[in-house]
Amino acid sequence: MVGRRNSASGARRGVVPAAAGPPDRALPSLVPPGERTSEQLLELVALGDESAFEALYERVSGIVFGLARAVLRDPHQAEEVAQEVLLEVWRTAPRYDVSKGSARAWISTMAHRRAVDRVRSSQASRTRDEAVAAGQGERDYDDVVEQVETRMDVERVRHCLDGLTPRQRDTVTLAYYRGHSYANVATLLKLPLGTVKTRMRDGLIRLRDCLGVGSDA
Amino acid sequence: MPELHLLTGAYALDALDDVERAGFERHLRSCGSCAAEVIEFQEAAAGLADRVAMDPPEHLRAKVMAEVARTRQLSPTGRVQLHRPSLRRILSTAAAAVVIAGTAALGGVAWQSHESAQDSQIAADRAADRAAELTNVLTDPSRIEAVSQVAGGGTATVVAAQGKAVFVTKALPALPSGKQYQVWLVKADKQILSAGMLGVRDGSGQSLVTGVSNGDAVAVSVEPTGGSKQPTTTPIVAIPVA
Repeated sequence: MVGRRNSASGARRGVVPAAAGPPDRALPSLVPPGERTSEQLLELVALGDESAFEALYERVSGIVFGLARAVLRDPHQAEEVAQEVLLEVWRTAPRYDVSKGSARAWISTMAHRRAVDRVRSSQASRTRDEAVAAGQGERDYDDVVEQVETRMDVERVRHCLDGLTPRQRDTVTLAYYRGHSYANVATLLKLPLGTVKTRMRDGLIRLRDCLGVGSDA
Repeated sequence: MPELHLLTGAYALDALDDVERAGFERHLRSCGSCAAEVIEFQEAAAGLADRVAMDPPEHLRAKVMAEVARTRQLSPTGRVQLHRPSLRRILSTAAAAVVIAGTAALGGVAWQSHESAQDSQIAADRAADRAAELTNVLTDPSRIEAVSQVAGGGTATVVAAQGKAVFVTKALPALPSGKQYQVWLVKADKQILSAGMLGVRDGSGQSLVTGVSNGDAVAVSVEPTGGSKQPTTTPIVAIPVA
């Protein structure tokens, strides 16, 4: 990819007919930069537009870094993972498919997966797993819940998490914010594996319904 | 409700281990309702992500933008058709590997990207030996052939004969710096042996795996540069040789 991307998008702007389709499907380059959705920015990124990527970076780097930080705890490793993920967004943007979910979900899924893979392959994880196996996981668990609760500053998600049963909430937050496998969660909460699987699913169903995330959202 | 369907939640939370995750992803391809549920759960999880958002250190932006400026993007058409390629296509893929190896031998071009130009003579000699080995395997009348899609894009083909397997990839995504593809020989008794790093150029890579028996599998995973002793990530492809 070489050349001046800005002038390329300028040229496109010149030839696109006024009626480019319904507003939500308008060519992203027709929309003023500040008003573009993340999906529209991704469409431009897919064409190699670095300035669109920088605008997207502005919006999503906090989620990417924050997730990595929550799961990995170590700021240095979190930064490495965030860098990998953000570059992956650039590289794979041409394959983003809006029918498979929002840009935000696509990127946070990628970030979470990468952070979890890292924590499970690192020494930190082995130490943690040994502590879990030795039944020393309780403090870790209390610590997590406290950390998560104090950071729940946006009312909507807090409210929705409050709508889960305590057990559903525990299984979801231990897995999502700390990267525990469901087997680890089962050990930490002294629950059968099948129960944990079911609670995770039930918890997400409630969360989905409360947050209003439908297939049409 | 089928047992596997219950895993949608654990999957969306990345709470499955590598083996279960791979199994569930296979299931997802044939379960539309599971896939739809996973998409919704991932949206809900993204809501959870908002709550831990934290601005990264300011210097990260410059680092990422510098990498962006020199990183090629994937082609939009990452999807490979699901039908099984014809034998002719498998053979032409495999033949391409021989041509690449042969070209390297004649022209002194390093055919594995990690081999430097300074070692071109050694590389050419090695490539010539390798081309001969590849040709022997690819033309063996009793050879076994198998092809598979690679998770994340591309295809992989294995042609095995005489205890060796020629492993050929096409359209494999480029990896970020610090990562390489590593080839593994998974023995029938589940022992996993490294078969070296896979040099990939423009998505195409070739590897010759030795010590292959019927019932083994050849797999590839993404590893830190230089490789790992055992896979540390879920293999992106595993092809049984049988």
